[in-house]
Amino acid sequence: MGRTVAIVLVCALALALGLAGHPVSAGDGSVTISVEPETVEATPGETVTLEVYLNSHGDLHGNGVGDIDLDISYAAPLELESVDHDPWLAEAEGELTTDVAVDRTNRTVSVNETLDTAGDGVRGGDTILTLSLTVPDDAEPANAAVEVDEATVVLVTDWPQGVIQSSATVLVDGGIEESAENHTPDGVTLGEDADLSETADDTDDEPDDEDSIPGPGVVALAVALLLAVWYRSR
Amino acid sequence: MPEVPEVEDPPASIYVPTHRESMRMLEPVHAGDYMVGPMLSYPHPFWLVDGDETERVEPEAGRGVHLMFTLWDMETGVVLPAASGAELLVEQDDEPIGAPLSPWPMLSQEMGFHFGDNIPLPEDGTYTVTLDLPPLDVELAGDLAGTFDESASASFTFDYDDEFRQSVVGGIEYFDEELWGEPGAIEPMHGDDEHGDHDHDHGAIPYSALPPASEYSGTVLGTAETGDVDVIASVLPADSRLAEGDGQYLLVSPRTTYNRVPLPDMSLSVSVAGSDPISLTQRIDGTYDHHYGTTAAIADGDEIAVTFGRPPQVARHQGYETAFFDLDPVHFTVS
Repeated sequence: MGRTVAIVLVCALALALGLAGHPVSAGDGSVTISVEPETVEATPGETVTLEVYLNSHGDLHGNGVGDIDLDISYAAPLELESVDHDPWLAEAEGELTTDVAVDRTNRTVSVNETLDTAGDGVRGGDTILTLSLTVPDDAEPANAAVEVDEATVVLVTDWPQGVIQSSATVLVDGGIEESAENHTPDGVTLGEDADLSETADDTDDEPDDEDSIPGPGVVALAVALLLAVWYRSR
Repeated sequence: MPEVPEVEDPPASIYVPTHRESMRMLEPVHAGDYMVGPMLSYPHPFWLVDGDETERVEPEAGRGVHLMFTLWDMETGVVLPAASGAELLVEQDDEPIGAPLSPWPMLSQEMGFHFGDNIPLPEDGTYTVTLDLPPLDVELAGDLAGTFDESASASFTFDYDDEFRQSVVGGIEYFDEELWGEPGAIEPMHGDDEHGDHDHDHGAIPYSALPPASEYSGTVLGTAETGDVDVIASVLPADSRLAEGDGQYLLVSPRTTYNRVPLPDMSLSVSVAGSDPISLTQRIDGTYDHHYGTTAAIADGDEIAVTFGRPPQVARHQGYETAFFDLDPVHFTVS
């Protein structure tokens, strides 16, 4: 019974870690970098915390990430209180060098991680930065973006990964109402039957469907459940 | 190489893919009567078509390129399919990298009709590609008649390095997820006669867009639609250079909706005024470009039914891999 309880706890932990609502790109493979939560409200004088989450499944041949260069910007009136860097490549074998640079004038935080390795690099999803941002006492209402300015994520095969990024918005003192955006980019012709009534917000929290490649948390849960079934059957 | 996101459960039609690809275009080279426009991108999946079945092809290795090229006639600008048996060989320092391979004919929203394949490469460096083209194995007509009847060869070099990889991956444009899988298409990477927006100066590599309906002569019967295929039909007079024997020439030109990309290696048949089905012959004409046609006795008021058999036996890039199958017949009335 004790062992079964332990395995169930592993399941619960895997669930908590792996299904925390981080977006996974449909079809998998390219790296997603998201600033989370997508929207947060803050009043003058308040400090909010946002995380930068990076998720990569590497390539089809098991090659993972070996190099990360990331520039995050935070818009006025936000002021940077602190930065916590949790090296994304820390778990890999090899020698890791990291650097974090803060430019308060230009409102950017830059991170570099370089792995010198003969191994497979790192795959998976985890937080790489935690930002504490403060709203000045005299701040006017604003929609302040916290976003990925530039990102280069390179596999151990030297191939960069395509980056899919999502930003966050801090609604200062209620924020400012903005007009709806035209979602059709240049160079795309939509058919008459195209339906864009489902917004990105509607899809962010939807679970992966059966065709998507599961994230590491889902795999961990499946393994833990199988262990539980196997152990109880002994 | 970067795996690319894909649309989950794509519709059975042309759809907006998840992103716009990025590529490096090399200087076009001559090969006999052919012009060859090489292009390079990152290795990525594509879909082969055999009969009514598709087979997904994944890149074989973590290092390499997706090598593509467009063939065209310099005089007319018409983009050409290659004869079966075309071969390319990749070498480094005069040493072959793998065995010679036959590039796949492919359809892409961005690049139109072209040839290509994923090529594994062992390391950074400069590589030489030799392309051997046999005589063209398709009926040619008009200004193209009598051309491409001899084998030809061309070679070009490319650099595989960090700068190349950064440029092609950095140029990927991901669309908002709400567009993924919606009916629609990416516009061609460059216009019919315009330079593409690429990172070096060179003669333009043409896009394979077929002429619009307004540019066909004869009695244009109109444009019918079936399964994201626009079908233009026209009856050319009996003295037309395309008509053989008694009767007029019925020209049928199927193309993709949105970008007018030709659909080669299909099987089409027509019934004129209730006749038994007549198989159409695939041709490339210097004026009318790729089409299917036949000579038949056609009179005013005749009903023409075009029936589709085998879908285009051409590999597909994302956004086209589920389209052009099981097409319903289309009908025209001669007036």
